[in-house]
Amino acid sequence: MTVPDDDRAQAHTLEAFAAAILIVAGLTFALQATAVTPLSASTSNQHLENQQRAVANDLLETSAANGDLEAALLRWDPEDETFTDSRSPSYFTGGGPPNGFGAALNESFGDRRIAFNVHIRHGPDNEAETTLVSMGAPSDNAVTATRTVVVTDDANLTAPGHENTTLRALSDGTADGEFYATDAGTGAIYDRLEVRIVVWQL
Amino acid sequence: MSGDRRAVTARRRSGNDRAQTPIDFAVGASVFLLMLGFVIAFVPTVFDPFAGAATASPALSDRVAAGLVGDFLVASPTEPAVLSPACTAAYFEGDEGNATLAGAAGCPTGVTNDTAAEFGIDDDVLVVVHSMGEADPVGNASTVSFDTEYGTRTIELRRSTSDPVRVDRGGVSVSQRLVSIDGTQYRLTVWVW
Repeated sequence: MTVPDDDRAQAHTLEAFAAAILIVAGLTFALQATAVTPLSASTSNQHLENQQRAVANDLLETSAANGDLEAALLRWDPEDETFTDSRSPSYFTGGGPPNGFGAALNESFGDRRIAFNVHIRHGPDNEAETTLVSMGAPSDNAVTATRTVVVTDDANLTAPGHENTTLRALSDGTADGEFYATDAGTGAIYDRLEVRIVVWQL
Repeated sequence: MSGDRRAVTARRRSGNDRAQTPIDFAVGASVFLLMLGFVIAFVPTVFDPFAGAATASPALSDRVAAGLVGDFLVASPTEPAVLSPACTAAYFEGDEGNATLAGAAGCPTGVTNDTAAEFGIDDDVLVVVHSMGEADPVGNASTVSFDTEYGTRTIELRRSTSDPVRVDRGGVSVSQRLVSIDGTQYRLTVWVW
């Protein structure tokens, strides 16, 4: 006995389920093939980046307000031309410098497995760069925060053993050694230092 | 002859005896269209940057934190995150704030208002200022003494719109800022749930 073609019963329903499964499978494949979407709980989550940027900005603001930032910038050994008390390299690699600013950096970032670099830009067009802390190459999801600090000619260095050396003495040759930035002019202002923090999740 | 009759019978059956085909087609088409609708509705949410929690968006807690640290509690808007001791004391005293202190210090209007209402949020808000390395900030707010016009106030830096029993569970969005009060650095954390 032959069955006519039109007696197909629930064929269309089955066909619809098959089509739906195909579409969902396609979507699932697309989601899996995309490494990271903004929804993924990852180190590149936009909310995390915003938080890190806000904390980095606040850290610079609060440290500048209580003087820790300027003290950290002046922790320079002019004879050995280093931040790290004549150890090599001349910048810190495992954490912040041993002062208030470094402690704040370690507490806000280092203790939470967040790496940071701190660079200082100086010179007439801020074209010269000196590194204060370098923990390596930032990831693609690093954020930065900057703040400008004005240092004056009569500012004292804060490095151990050089507390009585002023920037004016270094620039006019009264004291031995050199500061990393050069004197901007004849006025009371020595230079404007732009501090840049680069922060990224390890 | 018999061959003709079979052909006629087959033709008639194909015209009338289609069993459940129309129902089947309706069910199949609707299943397919529902699926298509769901997929089209779902795809944009994949690319939505702040679609984390269903109850409170991270943008909400971030807005409260930015408002507090950049405007409400600061001594000067040009120095964000450097909190004015008087306005901080006025904001955190009790869960309602202290309007007398706020008025005397000339703090921004609204410091003593309900935090959630001030920022136009329907959810509950908890604000805690704690030490930077604190692992459990909800129950460990810092206590700071402030010298104000009305004597020295010792205040626990914590303010919430309701009892924060649900803060440890899901659906909470958290934002943090770094602040300094009288030169000491603290972390300010905002929960919205």
